[in-house]
Amino acid sequence: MSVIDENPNAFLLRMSSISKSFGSFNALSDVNFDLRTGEIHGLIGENGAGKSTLMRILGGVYPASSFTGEIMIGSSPCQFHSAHDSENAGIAMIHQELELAPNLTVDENINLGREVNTFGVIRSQKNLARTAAVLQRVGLAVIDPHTKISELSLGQRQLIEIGKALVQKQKIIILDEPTTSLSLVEAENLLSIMRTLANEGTALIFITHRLDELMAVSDRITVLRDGKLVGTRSTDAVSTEGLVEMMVGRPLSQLFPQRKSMPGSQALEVLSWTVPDAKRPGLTRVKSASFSTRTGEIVVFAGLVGAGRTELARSLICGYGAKASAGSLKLGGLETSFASPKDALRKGLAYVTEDRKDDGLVLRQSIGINVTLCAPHKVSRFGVISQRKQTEIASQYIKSLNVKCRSLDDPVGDLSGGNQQKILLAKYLLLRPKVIILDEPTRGVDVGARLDIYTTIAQLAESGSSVIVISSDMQEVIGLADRVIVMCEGAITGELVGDEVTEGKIMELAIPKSSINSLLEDKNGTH
Amino acid sequence: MERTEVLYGGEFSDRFRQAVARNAVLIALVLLFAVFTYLTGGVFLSVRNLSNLSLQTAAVSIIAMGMVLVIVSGNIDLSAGSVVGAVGAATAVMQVQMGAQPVAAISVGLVFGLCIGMWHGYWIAYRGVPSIIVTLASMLALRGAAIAITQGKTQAPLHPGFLWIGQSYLPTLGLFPNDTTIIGTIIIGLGVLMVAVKRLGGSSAWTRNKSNAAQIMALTIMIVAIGGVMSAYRGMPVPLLIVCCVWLVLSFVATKTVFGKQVFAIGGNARAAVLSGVDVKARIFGLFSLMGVVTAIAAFVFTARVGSASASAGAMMELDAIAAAIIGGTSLAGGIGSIGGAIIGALVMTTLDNGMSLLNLDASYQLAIKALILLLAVWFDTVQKRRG
Repeated sequence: MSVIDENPNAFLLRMSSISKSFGSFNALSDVNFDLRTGEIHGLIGENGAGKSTLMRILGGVYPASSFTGEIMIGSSPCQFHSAHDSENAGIAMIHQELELAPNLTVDENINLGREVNTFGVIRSQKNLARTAAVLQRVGLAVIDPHTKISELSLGQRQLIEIGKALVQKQKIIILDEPTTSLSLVEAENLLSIMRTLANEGTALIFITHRLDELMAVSDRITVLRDGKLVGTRSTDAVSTEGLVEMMVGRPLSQLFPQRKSMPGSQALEVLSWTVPDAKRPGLTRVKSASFSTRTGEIVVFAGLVGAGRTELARSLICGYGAKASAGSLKLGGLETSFASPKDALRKGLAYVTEDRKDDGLVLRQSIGINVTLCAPHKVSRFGVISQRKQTEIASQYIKSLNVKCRSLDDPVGDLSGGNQQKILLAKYLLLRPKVIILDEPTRGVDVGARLDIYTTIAQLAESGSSVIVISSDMQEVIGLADRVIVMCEGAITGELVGDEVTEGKIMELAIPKSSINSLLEDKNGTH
Repeated sequence: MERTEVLYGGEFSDRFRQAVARNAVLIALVLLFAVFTYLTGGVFLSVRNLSNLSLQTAAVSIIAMGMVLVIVSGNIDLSAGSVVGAVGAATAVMQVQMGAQPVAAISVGLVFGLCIGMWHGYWIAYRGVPSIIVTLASMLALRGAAIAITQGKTQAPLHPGFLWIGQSYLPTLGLFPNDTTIIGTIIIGLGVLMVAVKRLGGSSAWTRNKSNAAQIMALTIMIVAIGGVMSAYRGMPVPLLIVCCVWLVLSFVATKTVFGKQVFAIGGNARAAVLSGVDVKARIFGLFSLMGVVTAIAAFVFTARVGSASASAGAMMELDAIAAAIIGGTSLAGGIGSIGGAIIGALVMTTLDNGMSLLNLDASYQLAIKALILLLAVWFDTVQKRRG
């Protein structure tokens, strides 16, 4: 971590007394924020705390006339009237939804909008040279610049986005939850590259929900709550617990609800379940997996990204591109098979997707419609939807799940990630499934909403459902599970109960044996 | 979605399947040629008919090439057929009733096309009206304009110099029959080979770049085959030359210019383009202006080949062009497409027309069969994409 210079000239950016309101709602009141050259500055807070609003002001999305306060870059005041102004001032924003053209190559994307050209004709050699230099800096030197973006992993795309900002020679890079959809290894790689860039003099603003990452990489942390500044601290001087307390406004003794594990009768039993790859015949995604769950029990599937957990879950409900080539399935003790996801849902097995935006919610439709989407029979008679019934049911869930929204008629797309996730949950809760599989239920969700979701999961189990959670978040795996099943490369490698559930044990089972050996060799090599 | 980390090695059979999938349209075209040759007892494959086929394809393939860029950008142009009608009518009326020279008529036609394109671009880019609506409006209005300009009568005869665009063949030097076509074919064929040899360097590079080498060989064979066929009849048709010119220019624009790259970026992810500082509005405006000019060129070729202008000229041509672009591998979702593919697509469409006409098939069957082919082509494309 770099030494913090107290010289005021080292401030690259200073935002003072920023206030912004939407109608009568104060999104930000009197917030101060500053950034030093070469630092990583974490910005945290619950959803709705004002992080995005603050960054949109900095990014020029909200023009200078729409808020009060002052922005200084170096020693000169700045007025941004558009995103373009902000960009010209040296600020790059890396969005959570990556903004790359998937049909173009790495080279074309990195240079997009800034192609080296003579009278409009592209100088491909010069562009390629620039791309190669940038790829080197973001640690992607092995990637062929002619590779199409659609062939890269999410982590690599994230790095390409950063590369784009580097081509533009931006001094300030804003990263909005960059690690949310990355695997552990990819996230670590990203963090180390962020550190390198900071050491080279770029200032980074890092918005995240993952406090452990923040603690590992940042120099300072600013916490916002309800549109107000709670404080800016040097990372060395705070603890994770302290940060959570600052964010939530009260000591958070327990993130996970205390509950007694009371497994009942057998709910789901899967025997030697094997699933081929949907796109590449010959490859196997799930290798002879056998497991069972009981009513009132929470089973967490842990493993690395790509271990086959999602494929297993999706193939169980017949929602994966390829059908299981072998294996049997018992629900409530009876052998069954499903013809479609709808059939599975009808018989009592629900799968809640990890990808709420693409597979889970109709973003442009209202909250009411989304909640009752799977259960039209509950709100309609002879095919005609009763608005009253729909409102009644939706508001009941909105209340029990603590969803923050203005009206049931709002499109779901307007809600924050955490609230969208709650709507997705409500959709399935309405059907009272016997077994419910939740795939990464808290991805991109803030601490407050997490608490609500964990409480709901606990209640589900208490009411006698069998809950299966797929999670890559260690804290979550350990905090939620009655029992942990670990998968690695398509196979179930072990099962952990009670005291055995530790991060070390889980990782031991989750990492492919070959890579453990190579890690050991690396270690021996350096010693 | 959890990502597969295993890289695709590829058995020979898989690679064969992929190669077939990649060249499916070309294979389909060869099959069509074979079927029609068989059914017509060889008439289809006669040099006279092949020369004729190229003339029939010219106008649609020019529009289809422009359409590729329009569809790639995530837009559509339904007005092309009516633009052909209106621009053709204007150039014909100038010659028939005002006695204008071809150069004057063509200049006015080009400006007319450009203005129509700019009109589209203005409404789509700067006023935010969806392209399907803007061009649908033009499709109606310009058909009306064509009726008004021709006063409902067929306008003929056209100036011989104008007819040259659509009906003649490359002029000869008089050394031997079709000397220019033969010499041109040899020069271009050798040129392509030489450039390839220079680019790929030594023999090891050829083996390493097998698919590249195969492509160059295929291109050379195609040039020699087309040149040979045309030499055996009356020489290179002028419309085919114009198609080649438009192909060269638009391919260059699509792959080598900032404009082209940005059009592909807009179609792939418009938000990404905006955030990267691409002036999307200016690009879309420019694109439709270009489309107006390209369609005007098609109008000259079409009107000159028919030899007259009428109010209904070019009707439904936009649909043929859209179909050709899609059969040629352009994705309706935007972002993906190739200019050369559109020519092949247009050739598939005209081959069906030509072949079925030779067989004296009823017009109703002809339309139904064309419809079916289009449906199958898009379905095949969807299946390929799903497999990834």
